[in-house]
Amino acid sequence: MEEKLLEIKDLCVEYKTDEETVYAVNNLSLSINKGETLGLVGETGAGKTTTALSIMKLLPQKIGFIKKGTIYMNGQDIILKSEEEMRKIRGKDISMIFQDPMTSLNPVFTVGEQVAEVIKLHSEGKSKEEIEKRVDELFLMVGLPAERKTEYPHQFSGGMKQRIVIAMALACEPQLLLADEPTTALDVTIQAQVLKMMKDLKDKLNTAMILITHDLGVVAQTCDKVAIMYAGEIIEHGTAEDIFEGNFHHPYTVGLFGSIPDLTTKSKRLHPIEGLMPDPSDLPHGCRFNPRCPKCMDICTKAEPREYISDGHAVKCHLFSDDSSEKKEG
Amino acid sequence: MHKYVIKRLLMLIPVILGITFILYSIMTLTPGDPVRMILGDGATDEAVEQMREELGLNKGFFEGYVDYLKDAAHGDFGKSYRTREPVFNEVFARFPNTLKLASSAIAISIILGVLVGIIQAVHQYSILDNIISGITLICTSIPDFWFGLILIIIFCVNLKLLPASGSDHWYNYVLPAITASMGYTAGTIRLTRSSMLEVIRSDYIRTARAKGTDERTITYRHALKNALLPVVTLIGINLGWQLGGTIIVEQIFAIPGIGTLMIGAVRSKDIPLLMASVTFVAVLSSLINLGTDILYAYIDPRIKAEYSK
Repeated sequence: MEEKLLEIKDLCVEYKTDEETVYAVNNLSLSINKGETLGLVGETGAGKTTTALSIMKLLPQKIGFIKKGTIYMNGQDIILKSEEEMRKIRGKDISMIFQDPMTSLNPVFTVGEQVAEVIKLHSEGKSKEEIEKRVDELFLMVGLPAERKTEYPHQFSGGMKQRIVIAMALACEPQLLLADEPTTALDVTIQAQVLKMMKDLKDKLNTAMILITHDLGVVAQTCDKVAIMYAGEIIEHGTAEDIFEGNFHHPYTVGLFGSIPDLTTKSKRLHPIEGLMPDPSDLPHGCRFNPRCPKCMDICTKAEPREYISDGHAVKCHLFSDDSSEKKEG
Repeated sequence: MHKYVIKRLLMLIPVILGITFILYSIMTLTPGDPVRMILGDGATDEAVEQMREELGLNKGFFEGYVDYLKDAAHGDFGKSYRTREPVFNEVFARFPNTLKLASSAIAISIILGVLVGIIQAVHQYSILDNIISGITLICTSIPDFWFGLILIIIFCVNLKLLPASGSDHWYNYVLPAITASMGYTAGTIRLTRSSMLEVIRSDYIRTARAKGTDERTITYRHALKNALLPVVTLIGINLGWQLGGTIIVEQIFAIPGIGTLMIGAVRSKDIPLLMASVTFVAVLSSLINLGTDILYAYIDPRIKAEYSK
């Protein structure tokens, strides 16, 4: 279990257009072991999807660039791989589930054809019958009748489409599954179903998963480890217990939890984090969170904080710098 | 699907009635007497009256129209005033020439248009893309008659490679087909490019990439089939136009086609001939539209589902 599968170090990703350069991911480091689930949490625009696309090397062509860093998958740096080598990895070793199932399937091919395509691409020498058999198996696995494989995407509901996308992603039993907000576009009852199914299948196939979401409830249900992202950086990471029950947190994490409405106490208003995410083409100096931070100090606008780690739980904040060792030990 | 096709075919009836009525109105209510045109200025009143009787022009407006429809329902579309032959003999004698010209022009526009459009979309913003965009802009702006004449000067007068007129051999159609196809090809290129670009950015193309599919398969299998829909519409419309006869191209290269036939009929006020040829072209266009719509169903299963409702 403790074997490292993926390790990202100092990843920087930029989007370059004629007008501006967007710093989407800045010095991001994270790692995930075999079979583990990591929740990547953050607001819209925090760089979560960009991180996932970098792992797939599917950043938008001619706009998105990996500027710096290494992404080791099974000890090999993905960034150095050629496009052809990447094609063999995509869908086989690393798969991705995208946010919106309504648009992720090609409308002019049957769903069976689309699932079969992945298998065909990554298993040379399989006969047509074997492939079809595998498609039937996969449909059964995600809880869809195999007869429906001859139908087209428009004949399925959103939740069913996401099941097909999941079947496609798991077809070659990948070692790593990147799930980019897989349940955001689904309604709540279906969300729970799909999440449970993903968790079960993941456990069955011993697949590691990076679950990108902004829903802390989803994280609590499914993740072993959690990383909180803000403005292209990971500002806090640790085990799920560290994040949900630990006693020292980044002010942003505190704000995130504070903004979840509490059903037990009466409150007229929601408690959002004041302000907006900084413009990623013009990030603030020092700590990126300083303009919105309720505990902002002088040093926060001047110097970038380093990570303060205690027992695997890391927080990137000046609050825990010098004399605050007591706070850290908590 | 069958129900849909039958419904569409039945809709041809009001189309035909409308077209014939409008044509009949225009031809009878506008000034100019076909009988005087045929007999010339020196004809006596008796001769004119006799001819008028013969051609059935002495009836009232509505009576004449109803009689025409009655005869047409029995397969008699009248005789040409000039040749005294059944009108469809003339139409069918001319139509193969138009068909040859139209089909070769449209074939060029499909093959060249779709292919170049795809190449442009795949290499968006490259130098090649910009050059082709420039050329297509010029091609859509150049008028047919000028381009046809330039081709004649180059290939017939100077190089003496191809004939400037005639319709008996395949090589007679080379220059007319190029001339006629130029605008259509440019249009098809531009539409294919923009349609492909739109599709290439869609989520399902990203899904295909995430599966490990190679770019060639993505372009020609995943993207093209989705991008073709608007292109098929355009090609259908173009084919309809072409089969209606390109008067200018037929005139320049002296090809006896439907276009020149219709112009001649208008000039001599040959009412039965004009009505027959225009109605024929109109029905043909409607059928091509229907064919295009059926083709949609084979490209996009969502449309097929819509049709079978």
